Amino acid sequence: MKILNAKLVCSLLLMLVCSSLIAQQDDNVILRAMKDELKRSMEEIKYDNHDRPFFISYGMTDSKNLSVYATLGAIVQSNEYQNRDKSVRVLVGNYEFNDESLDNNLYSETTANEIQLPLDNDYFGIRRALWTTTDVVYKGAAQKYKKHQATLKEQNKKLSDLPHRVFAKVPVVQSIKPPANADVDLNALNNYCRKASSVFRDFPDLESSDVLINFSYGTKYFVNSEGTVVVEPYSIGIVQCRAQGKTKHGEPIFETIEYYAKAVNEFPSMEKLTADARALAEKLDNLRSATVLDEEYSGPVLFLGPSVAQAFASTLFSQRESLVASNAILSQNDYRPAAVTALDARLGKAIIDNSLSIKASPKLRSFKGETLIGSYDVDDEGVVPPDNLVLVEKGILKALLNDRSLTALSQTANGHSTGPAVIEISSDKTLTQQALKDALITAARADGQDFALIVRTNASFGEAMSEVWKVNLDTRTEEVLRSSQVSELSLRNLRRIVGVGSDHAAYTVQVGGTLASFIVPQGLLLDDIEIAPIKLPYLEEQETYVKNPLKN
Amino acid sequence: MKDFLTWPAIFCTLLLHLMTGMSAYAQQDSLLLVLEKELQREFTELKKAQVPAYYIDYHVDDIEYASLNASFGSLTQSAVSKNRVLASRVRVGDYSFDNMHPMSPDEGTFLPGGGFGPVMLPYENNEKALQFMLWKTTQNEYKQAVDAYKTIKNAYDRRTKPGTPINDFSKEEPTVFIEPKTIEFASIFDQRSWEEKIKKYSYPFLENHDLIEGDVTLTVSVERKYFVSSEGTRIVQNFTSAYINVSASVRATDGDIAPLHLSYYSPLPSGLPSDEKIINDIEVMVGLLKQLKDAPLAEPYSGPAILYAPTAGVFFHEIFGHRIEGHRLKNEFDGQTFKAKVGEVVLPKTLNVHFDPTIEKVDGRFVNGSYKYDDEGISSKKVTVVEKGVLKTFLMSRTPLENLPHSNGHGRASLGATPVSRQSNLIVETTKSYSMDELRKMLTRECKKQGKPYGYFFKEVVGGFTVTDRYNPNAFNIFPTLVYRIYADGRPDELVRGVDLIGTPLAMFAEIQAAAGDRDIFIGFCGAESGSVPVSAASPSVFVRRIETQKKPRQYQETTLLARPSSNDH
Repeated sequence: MKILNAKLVCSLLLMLVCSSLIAQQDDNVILRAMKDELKRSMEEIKYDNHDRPFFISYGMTDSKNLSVYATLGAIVQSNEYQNRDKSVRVLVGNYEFNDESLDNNLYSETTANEIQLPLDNDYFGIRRALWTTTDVVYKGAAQKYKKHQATLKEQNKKLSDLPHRVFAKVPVVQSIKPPANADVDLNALNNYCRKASSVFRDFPDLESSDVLINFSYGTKYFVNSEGTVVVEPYSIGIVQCRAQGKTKHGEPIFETIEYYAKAVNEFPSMEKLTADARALAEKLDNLRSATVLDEEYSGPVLFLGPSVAQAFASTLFSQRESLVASNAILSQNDYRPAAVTALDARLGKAIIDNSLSIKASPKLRSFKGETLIGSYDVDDEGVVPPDNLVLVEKGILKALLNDRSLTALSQTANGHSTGPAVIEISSDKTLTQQALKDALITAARADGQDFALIVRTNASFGEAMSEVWKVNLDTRTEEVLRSSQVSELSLRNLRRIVGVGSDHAAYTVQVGGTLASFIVPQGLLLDDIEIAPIKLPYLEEQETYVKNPLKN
Repeated sequence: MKDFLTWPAIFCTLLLHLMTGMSAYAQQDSLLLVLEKELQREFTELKKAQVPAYYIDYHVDDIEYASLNASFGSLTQSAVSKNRVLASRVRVGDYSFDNMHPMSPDEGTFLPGGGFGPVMLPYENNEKALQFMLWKTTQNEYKQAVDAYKTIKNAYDRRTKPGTPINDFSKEEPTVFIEPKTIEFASIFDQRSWEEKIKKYSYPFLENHDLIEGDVTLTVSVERKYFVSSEGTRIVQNFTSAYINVSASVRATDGDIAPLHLSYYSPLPSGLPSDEKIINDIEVMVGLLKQLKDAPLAEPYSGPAILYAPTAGVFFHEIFGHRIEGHRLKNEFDGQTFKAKVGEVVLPKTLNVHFDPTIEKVDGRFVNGSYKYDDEGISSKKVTVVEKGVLKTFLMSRTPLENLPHSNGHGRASLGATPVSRQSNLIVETTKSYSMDELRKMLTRECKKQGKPYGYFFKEVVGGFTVTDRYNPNAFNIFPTLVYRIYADGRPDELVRGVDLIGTPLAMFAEIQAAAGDRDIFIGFCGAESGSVPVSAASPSVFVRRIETQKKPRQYQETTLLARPSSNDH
């Protein structure tokens, strides 16, 4: 479907209609219940001495979830269940000034009145679940709006003189897609997990190991009082292989490999998964006797493979500085210093190395045959993002990703309430892998280092460990290090890059609780990066009194 | 490791938690074989260690369960799952002194306890995978046991010794009992038909627009419990259960929320009451909620009361039952209310109190505190704790007391927890019974004597809790849901809201005056330091000369702005 560039925020109502599907709409009990309850609420709800809502939206996710967990070739848990979640937003006031304008707490407390969504297509049951939540959210919104009006009056200021949040007007969207045909066989997932986890039986020194699959699929519904209606199938799954071992002194070492997919048949083949699981176990085995960094390293570091995506994700979408526009306003009720440095003030200015350009391509479905997990057509607020949005051009900040809540004049709603989606990073300072390694060695020598470091995975500590390799400056040989951690990266680290790889690849990275796809160069050479040995508390390994049964 | 001080209250609630040819058969049960084989292998080695293990057990609960919920006629939850959970105890030292020896308060709050807690096992009988998990768990438990033993032994050696040493763990004869698997989950539970049933049960709540909650929950489980120990005990028992819980709340005229509850229990879903009976009960409940909407809020009160049978059952469970759980009396943190009172009159001489896990039914109704063997592999026994008002003994696990060196089959625990002495099916009997009319007359007479215009009739209750440690007031709190005032001047009974029944145990025992000839049963789950276990309490209604009430915490709920979507949708 071709949709508009959302930067053109105007009163144009663009109706995106899948005409063949509109007829199905009336037959869709869920959609009918959502629309009817929304209509009733907009027309009738009224709280004494308070304003009525000017905007209501309902979201609902109808999902089927399968999860399997196996260890050493045996199933520990295998479940399949249906779930339905709802979201209700009620705004009181107007687009410029409303209950969300002057406060950072945008959530309502649940009450004893809450009714869960039914699992079956029970028209009145769905309406009852929306009715109770609408009631409590509206009451909270109406009270808050009244308070905001009083605040404005007390301060005797114009709204424009106060930091405030505006609700963006966006085009109406009607996009109704047929449900996904994703009938997933739990027994097939059981077999997959069982077989993959049995690989670890050949590695009796592992303390624990398992293979997990979670797969969720279904349909997302969204309606709002402006006329937007979105019905979108979705599916997402993850396979994880996890293993934990110990060094001979008892120091824990652990590793996780993950695969994301939008369809079960996109998961790795059994051959690949078992080979990867075996490689994971062998890697832990090697790490048992690997050396560790004696002291903190500060100098040039070459990021390769997935660690490049992780490095860009952690610098461009950190909690402190992010290409997702900050939704927080300076509130009179919040005396803590702002945790987020808004980048709005730096629009038009250089924020990173002038060889780098970054764009959001949320609708890009695949890259080099790989499905892009983060992609979508319409965001969670029913806003259609542009096909491409340039965020950084040759180091200059051009735009930020935004939802409908705008906290600065420079912001526009561009369909990114769901998250970064798909981020493409390019550079005109490309080098071959060989040249990157040469440049690393040269930079390390110039820096007076005894060795250089290459990072191949940069994991969040807790689930896995970063994979760091030590490079001999004379022989160019590499040696894996145990228990090292890359210090927190920031935008500052991208101010000057030595070079990036010429090939690109796509990776899935967790950003702020959502999954995003990053299309990045296969290498990134940065200077002045800190990598430190991890000092984990552990007990010296005690005697094992009974022989490990896997060694029998 | 557990710290008893982190358990300030023993809480018993109606809410259900599920997480809510013998030798020939043993050959077929491959899980049992794996457990036996690994236990033998571990014990053979660990008893030779520098700090030898003298006891190891494996307790595995293999459970398949369903949890369904309907709200106002709509199905809101329906899930079926299965788990296999392992708990292991390794004891080092010997029966007289081991790693579970209780610490005294001056040694700090550290108390030795079960090791790493429950471990999820594969539910498939894959020998290598099971054996590895058993081995890993045993190693961890052993290391922790040795560590605890060293700490306790050092502390004990510094301490002034008590007069008569008491063993830390009782010596018991090993038992073998292997019950064949007779029931498959799928054969007793039809998920689709029960989804329709509970939806139907919750329809009547739609008739009352003041209700803010109208839920029916069904939980069904089929469980196989395995217990093997290094002493030679091998137990495999089957358990099944089916519970229906009904919870509804009305928004009262003043905005307060008043709840009511119903519950049904049967070992199998097919034994639950008929649709007609449940729907009829729910319709009565809806009628009572309608009355509660306009019922007045009660003020704090002290005076006479009648506890209707199920309320009296909870009353005895809380104020009496938790104080005769034997292991507490060895604990210097505990209030030990009855420790020195064996042979003394502790209740009215007309009352007898038993705990009987061997029975399946009381007065023709299934009770849920039944089992053949407890969670320490000890055969269940009927225990008479009070006879003609005189305290006879305590409920015993394998933690001995002075003059009580053996368990009487009341060592219980929830999935994966370490067993301690707990209640089972509580049965209170009276040798002198009165009719309910006579109890009412006693109440009105007592009201006049005390100058009270009314007394209280506590008809229904949802649960309660009590505190038994010596660092807090030894009080109890019972949560009635249906409470009436009985007026001394003969006015009709008046329904009231917002009453909690409170008191202290010894003062309350002295106030019990008479019991009726009726009997009813409270079915619930009791939570304490060894987790949540199913219990029942059967009692006659009792007349109490003086009780005390306090106000319930208030929950304010505004009325909804729009009407509930279509009330006649079914």
